[in-house]
Amino acid sequence: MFMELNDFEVGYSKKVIVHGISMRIGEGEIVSIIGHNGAGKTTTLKGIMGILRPLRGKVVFKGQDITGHSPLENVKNGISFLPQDRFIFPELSVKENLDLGAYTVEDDINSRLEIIYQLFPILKERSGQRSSTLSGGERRMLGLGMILITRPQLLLLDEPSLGLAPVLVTTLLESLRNIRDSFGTSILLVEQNVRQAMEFAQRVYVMKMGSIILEEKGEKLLQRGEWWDLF
Amino acid sequence: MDYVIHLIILVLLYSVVAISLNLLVGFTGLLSVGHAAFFGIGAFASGLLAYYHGVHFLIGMLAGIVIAIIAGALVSIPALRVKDEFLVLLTIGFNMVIFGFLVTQQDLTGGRWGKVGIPALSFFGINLATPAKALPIVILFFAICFAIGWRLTHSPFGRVLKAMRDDENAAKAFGKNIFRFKVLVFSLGAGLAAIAGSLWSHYHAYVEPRAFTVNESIFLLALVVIGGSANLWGSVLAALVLITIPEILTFLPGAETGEVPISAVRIAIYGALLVVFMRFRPKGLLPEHLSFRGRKLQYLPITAEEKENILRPDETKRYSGLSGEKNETPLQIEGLYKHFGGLKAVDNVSLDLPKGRITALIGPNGAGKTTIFNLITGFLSVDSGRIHLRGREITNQPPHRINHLGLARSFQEVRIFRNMLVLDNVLVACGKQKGENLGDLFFRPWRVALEEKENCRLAMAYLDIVGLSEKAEILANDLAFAEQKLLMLACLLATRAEVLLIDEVVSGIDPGSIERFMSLVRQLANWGKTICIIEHNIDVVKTVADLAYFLSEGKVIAVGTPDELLADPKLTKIYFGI
Repeated sequence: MFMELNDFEVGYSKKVIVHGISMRIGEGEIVSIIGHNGAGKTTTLKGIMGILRPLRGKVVFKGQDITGHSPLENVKNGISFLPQDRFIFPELSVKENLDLGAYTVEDDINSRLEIIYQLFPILKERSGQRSSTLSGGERRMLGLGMILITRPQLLLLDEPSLGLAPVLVTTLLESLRNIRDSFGTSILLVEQNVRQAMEFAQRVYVMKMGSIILEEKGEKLLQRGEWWDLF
Repeated sequence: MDYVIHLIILVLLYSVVAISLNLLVGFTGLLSVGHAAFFGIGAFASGLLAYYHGVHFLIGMLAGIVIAIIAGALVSIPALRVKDEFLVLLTIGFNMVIFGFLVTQQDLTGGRWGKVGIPALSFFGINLATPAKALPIVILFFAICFAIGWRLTHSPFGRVLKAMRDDENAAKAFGKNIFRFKVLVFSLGAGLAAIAGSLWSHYHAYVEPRAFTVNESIFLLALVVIGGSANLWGSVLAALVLITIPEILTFLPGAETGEVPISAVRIAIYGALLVVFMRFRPKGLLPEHLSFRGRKLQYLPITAEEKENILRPDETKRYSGLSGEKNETPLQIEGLYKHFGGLKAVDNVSLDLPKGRITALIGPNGAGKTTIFNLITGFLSVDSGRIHLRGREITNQPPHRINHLGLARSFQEVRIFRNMLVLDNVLVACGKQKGENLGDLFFRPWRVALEEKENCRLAMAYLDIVGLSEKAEILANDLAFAEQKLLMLACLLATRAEVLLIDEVVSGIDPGSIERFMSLVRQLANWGKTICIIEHNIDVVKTVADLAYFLSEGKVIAVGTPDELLADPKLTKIYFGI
C-alpha cells in the first residue's frame, strides 16, 4: 500500500480530535474525506503531514514508517499539504512565493515553473505582483502552484476549491487528474463540496466526530442518494 | 524587617507600572518600549512640586497623572499609524526625549544626579518616612490601580482592546473606533504609571533620571512578558519574582570577600533565569486564558418571538440621523471606480440593493466583487463614484461609522478574534455598548452590568442560530475552519445592521449548515433586511438570490435573476468554461 494510517490518533495538546482511524491510499489513487464541520478532517491531514504530532498509531508511506516526521522531512519525502487558509506569503511577489514553494527542489526550477504557469496562466501574468493584491481565487491557485512545484507523490489538499469560481473548479480538478495521470501522484482530498468530491474521488471516507463511519466507492456513494442523511 | 517591607513596597510599585504597561502590550497588542517615561513623568512632576512648593503628594500625583495622560495621548497619535517594530522605535524615541529633557534641565531637575530631599509621603499630617509606615498607603494605591486595571480589562472596554489586538480590521468592521480606543488606552496606561512614579519619588525621597531610561522600559516589558500578556495577576507575580531574585542573589557566598566579581555573576544568573522562564513558560508565568476555566454560564433561553425580533433590522439604528427611511432601495451605488495602478479592479459599477431582497454578485475570480464590498464599507478609498445608504452619502466614510449607520459586512477570509472566547467574539459585534464608555464603566456600573447580561443572552442566541452555542466557552482559534466561518456569520447577525454584505460565507462548510444558512438569509430578507452575497456556490445563488449581477474584469456585464443569467451562453462560457 502506498500510504496507510493505522489506529491513528491526533489532537491538540491533550484534546483528542481524531480517534484511532485507519485509512489507506493506493498509488495514483484519488481519495476524499467528507464529513461535518469539525469532524476531524483537517486534523487528520495535519497529523499525516507532521504539523500535529500523532498521539497514537502509525503513518506508513511507501513502506516506511514516517510517524512523527517533521513537515520538512515529509516534503522532501514527497508529501505536500495545502491548508485551508493562510498558505501564501502575502508580502512577497507571486514569483517569490513559487520560488519558496520550490525550496526543497534541487534541480533547475524554470521548467517546473513553466508547467505551473501553463496550469494557471494568471500566475504568469501576475508574477511580479505582490501576492496580497491577488483575489481570493488567485491566491488559492498560487497556493496550489507552490506545492505542485515540488512534484509531490502524495498531495494532501484541504478544500482546494474554496473560493474558486466554477470554471476554475473544473479546471482545477481536471489538472489534478492530469497530474495524477502523468506523475502517478496520489491525492487525499478534504472537500465540503460533497457531490464534486464523490464524482472526483475513487474512494470516499466519511468522518463523524473524529471517527470514520463509512468507506465507499465515490460513484457508489453518489448513486446511493441517501448520503445526505450522513450529515 | 524594614528590608522585607521595603522589598514588598518595590514589588507593589513595579506591579502597578507593569499592569499599566500590560494594558498596552498584553491587552491591546501595542508594543511599547518607552513606558518608563510615564513612570518618570509621574515621579518628577510630583516630587519636584513637593520639593519646590511643598505641595502635598496627592496633589503632586494628580499633576503627574494629568501631564502623563497628555503625554500619552500625544504619543498615541503618531502611534496610530505604526505597528510592531516601528512602534517600538517610536516609543524608545519618546523615552529618550523625556530622559534627555530631565537630564538637561539641571536647574529644575538636578540634572544627571537628580534631586535629593523630596518630602516623604504623609497623610493627615502624619509623616510616613519609614517603609513600615509607607506600606499601607502603597497597598491602598496598588489596590486602586489594580481595581482600575481589572475593571478596564474585564469589561466590554477590555473586550474591544483584545479585539483590536487580534484583528484591527475586523474590529473596525464591527463599528469600533480604533483611534478613540488607542488614544484612551495610551492615556490610561500613562496615568496609572504616573501614580506609581509619584509614590516612588516620595518613598525614596529622591528622583533621578537614570531610573527612567530605556533600560528601565525594557525591564518593565520583561515584567509583562514573563508574567503573562493580558494577565494582571501575572504582572504582579513577575514583579515579585524579578525584584526578589536579584535581592536573594546578593546573599551569594563570596560577596564579602570580593574574590569574584559578584555583580557580574548576579547578572548572568538573572539572565539565565529569564531564558529558562521563556523556554518553559513561553506564554508567561500566568498565561492569558487561565482564569475562565470553570466559569459557568447560565442564560435565559430566547423565545421564538424574541428570536424574530433580534433578527429583524434594529429600528433604533435605522433612524439614527438617516433621512429617507421609507426608501425601498437602502443602498445605491453610482459609477464606482477603483484602479490599482493599471488594473481596473472596479470599473464604472452601479448597483442598487432593494429592501427585503437578496442580491448576489457572481463572476469569475478577480472580477472585483470583494473590492466592491471593500469600497462600500470604507476599507478601500473610492476613486470616483457615489455610495448612498438610505439617501445619505457614505462614500469614503471610515468603516466604523458605516457600521453605526446600519451596514455590516463579513470578510472572505476568516477574520475572527482568535485569542478570545467564541462568545466574546459575538459580544464584540453587538454594536456600541455602554461598557465601552469610561464614564459608564466606572460611574454607572449597574447599567453596564444590565446591558452586558442582556448582550450575553443575545450573543448566545446568535450562536444558537448558527449552531455553535455549545462551543461558546472555547477559544475561537480552537474551532474548526467551518465553525470559524459560522462564527463570522453569528457576529454579522449580532451587528443587527439593516444591510448585510456577506462574502462567501458558505464556502467550506458542510451541506447541512449550508441548508440552514439558506433558510436563514431568506428569513432575514423576509423580515426586512437588505442582503448582498458574493457566492461561487451556484446552488446557493440559485436558491436564495432574487437578483444577480454578473461581474467580469471590474464591470457589470449582466443583471437578472440567477436563472436568466445562467441561461445566457455567453456568461456560462465565462463562468463555467462550457
